[in-house]
Amino acid sequence: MTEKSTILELVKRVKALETEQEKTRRAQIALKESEERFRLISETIHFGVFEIDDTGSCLYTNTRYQEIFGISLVQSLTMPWHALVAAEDREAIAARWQAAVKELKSFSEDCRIGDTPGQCRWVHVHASPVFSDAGARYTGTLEEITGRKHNEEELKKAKEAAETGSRAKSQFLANMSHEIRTPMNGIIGFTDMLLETGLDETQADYTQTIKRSGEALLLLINDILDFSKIEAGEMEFEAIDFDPELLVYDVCELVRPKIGTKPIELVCNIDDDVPPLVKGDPLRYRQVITNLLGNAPKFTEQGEICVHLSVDAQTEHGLHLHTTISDTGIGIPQDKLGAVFEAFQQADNSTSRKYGGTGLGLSICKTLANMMGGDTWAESQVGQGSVFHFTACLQKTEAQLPARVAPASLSGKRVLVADDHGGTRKILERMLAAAQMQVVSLEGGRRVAPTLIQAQAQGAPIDICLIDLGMPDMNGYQVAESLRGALEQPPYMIALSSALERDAAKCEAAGFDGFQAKPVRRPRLVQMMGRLLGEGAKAKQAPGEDLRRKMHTQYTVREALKHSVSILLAEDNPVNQKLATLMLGKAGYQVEVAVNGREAVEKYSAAPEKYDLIFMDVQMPEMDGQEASRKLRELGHAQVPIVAMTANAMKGDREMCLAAGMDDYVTKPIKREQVFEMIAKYVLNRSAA
Amino acid sequence: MNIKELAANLGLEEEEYRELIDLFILSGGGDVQKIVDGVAAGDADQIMRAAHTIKGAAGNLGLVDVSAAAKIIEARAMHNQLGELSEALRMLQGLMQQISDGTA
Repeated sequence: MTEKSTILELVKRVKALETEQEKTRRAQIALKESEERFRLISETIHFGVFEIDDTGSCLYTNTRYQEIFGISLVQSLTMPWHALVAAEDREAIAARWQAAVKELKSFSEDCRIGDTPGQCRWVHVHASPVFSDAGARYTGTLEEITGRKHNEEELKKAKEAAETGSRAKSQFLANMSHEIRTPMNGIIGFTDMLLETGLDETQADYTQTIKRSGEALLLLINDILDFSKIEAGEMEFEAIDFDPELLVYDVCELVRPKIGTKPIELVCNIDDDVPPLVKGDPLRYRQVITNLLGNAPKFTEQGEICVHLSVDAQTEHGLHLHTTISDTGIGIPQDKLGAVFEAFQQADNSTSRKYGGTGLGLSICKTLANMMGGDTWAESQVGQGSVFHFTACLQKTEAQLPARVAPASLSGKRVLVADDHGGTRKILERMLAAAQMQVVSLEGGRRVAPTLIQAQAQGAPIDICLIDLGMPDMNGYQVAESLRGALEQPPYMIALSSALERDAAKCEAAGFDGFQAKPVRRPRLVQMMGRLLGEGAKAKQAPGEDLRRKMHTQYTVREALKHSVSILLAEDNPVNQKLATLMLGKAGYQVEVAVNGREAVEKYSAAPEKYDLIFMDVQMPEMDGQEASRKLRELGHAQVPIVAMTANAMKGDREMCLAAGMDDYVTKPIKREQVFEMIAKYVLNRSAA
Repeated sequence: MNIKELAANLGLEEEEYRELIDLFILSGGGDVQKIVDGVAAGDADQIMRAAHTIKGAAGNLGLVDVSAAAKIIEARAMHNQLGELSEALRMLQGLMQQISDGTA
């Protein structure tokens, strides 16, 4: 029994052992298969694979790993991977690797390998810690990325080359701007002078053509340069205070000659809530308005062109100014409205032949408007006319202009307005009411005399009349004629005209006391009326009597001013001193010379009331123009305009001048036209405005 | 050199323009000497200033060649290429001489 049971026990054990062996065998097969699979993957993948134990020794590398480094299996297991990094990077990378290992962090970096010069290769090493009972091992991959790096390098080089090219292009254009503009200004300037030399009619005609062509070419060049600047991302905006109302009037004056003799009323309507000063870039702002307004006369034969300036919205620090320019011209078809703002496009190809232009102007306007936080767009009906809109976001300014107070002499005075144009009447009515005047407004000239007579009979005589010269029913001259002898106490009369100033003499003969060009500038009108009614103590003499007062026109005011203008010229070079003195002296200005900045400051400070304008050379010994300007401003001479004379029109120079407190600049060589333009801008217009 | 034309370009009488030219020869001569001295002393700054002055004055007077020669000298001095301005300097001296002789 015992034996039997022993045998049975043995058989059981053997059975159990066999089962155990079978299990082990299966496990071994599974492990072998698993290992085989891992090996297969490890040997076929494109990545190098490695494993590092917690002591830092390499336990495993695959064949690809050895291939990438170009080493044997034994070598791969006996030296750390970072020992194979290119010599110059080795230390730094090893340090970063050790740091990662110390903190048990992943490591991922592009490394250069190989020490053969010119044969640099790149690998990407990525390793992560694996935590187990045995501690932290690292497993990692190694990827050859030489090709990718090479492409990146190429791309970078190409990008740099492109950028350098683009910079060179901008620089070239910037240089060209100066190089092209200078001779162009010469051509135009000298053509102007040529015109003053007593040419016969044909010669004058030819010369005018040269001048017009020159001006057209200059405009075109400016357009192209602006366009290039925008393309190159080089367009910069200033933030300086300017008067938007004055700016719009200035543009009107500039555009008025383009209307010529066409029966077009140019109307300028400035809303009352438009502030007297805003902060922005007046040049760019003006450029857009000039462009939009300048187009209108080209496409309009009769009717009106109206500029309206209003405020769309205000925030604490900024405001949206909205300018509309409407005309009664040929209009633009609906499907072309968008395209006119695209570069190199005009409404149709025949347009450019008939009306000229680069087709860049409106595209530049749109970009400029966008850059000023606004937009441009157009509405139109063919045959009815077009409305161009321009909005821009401008800043409010801390600086305050002295509020434009109308002279007290106007308050309560009775004024009669006679104009056939409703828009103009409305604007005048508003201007005059704002000056506290009582306004009677008439459409046309026929009722002027009866109205005046009736007013006098009722004991409320009209003090002053504003009479349009171009009314269809009865023009201004006829109105003046009808008043001759009709009234015991004739009112003062101011003629309004869209025509140019040569009418002044005729106006004076007809009995007008003053002349205002249309669109009427509020400040000028108010000033003229103030002067007329201010002398009102002496009642107006009836016409025909010999006591004739001097006619008040913008022209005579200007000429009178000219001779009282005194200019301080700071310039060290005797040749330039003499030339400028001669040039200005001949034009009727008083000139005083300072030989350097220090003397300019001294001379001006000694008699600030004496000088109306300072021309300041930038480069002078002892004290240069910038320092002198800064000094003058520091001394509190904030009002006197300072115009820099610089040899370099590049923007750096210009900004330096403005930063030093100067108002403007002219470029050398000195051109008469430029100089006189500055005087007109800063002295004559300022006093007359 | 057509004095009449150059004067007219500036809106001046011939006499007035001649005066300006005399003044230019006088002051410009000093500036040319400064350039010559500057070259000898290797003083690029002095050369630049003097050339700039001549460039400006000549440009204002419509003396295009003189201004151009001075401009080259100024540019060379600005880039410290003192060795390369002798030709322009010779040209400038020649032009100044011609103007002063009245043979330009």
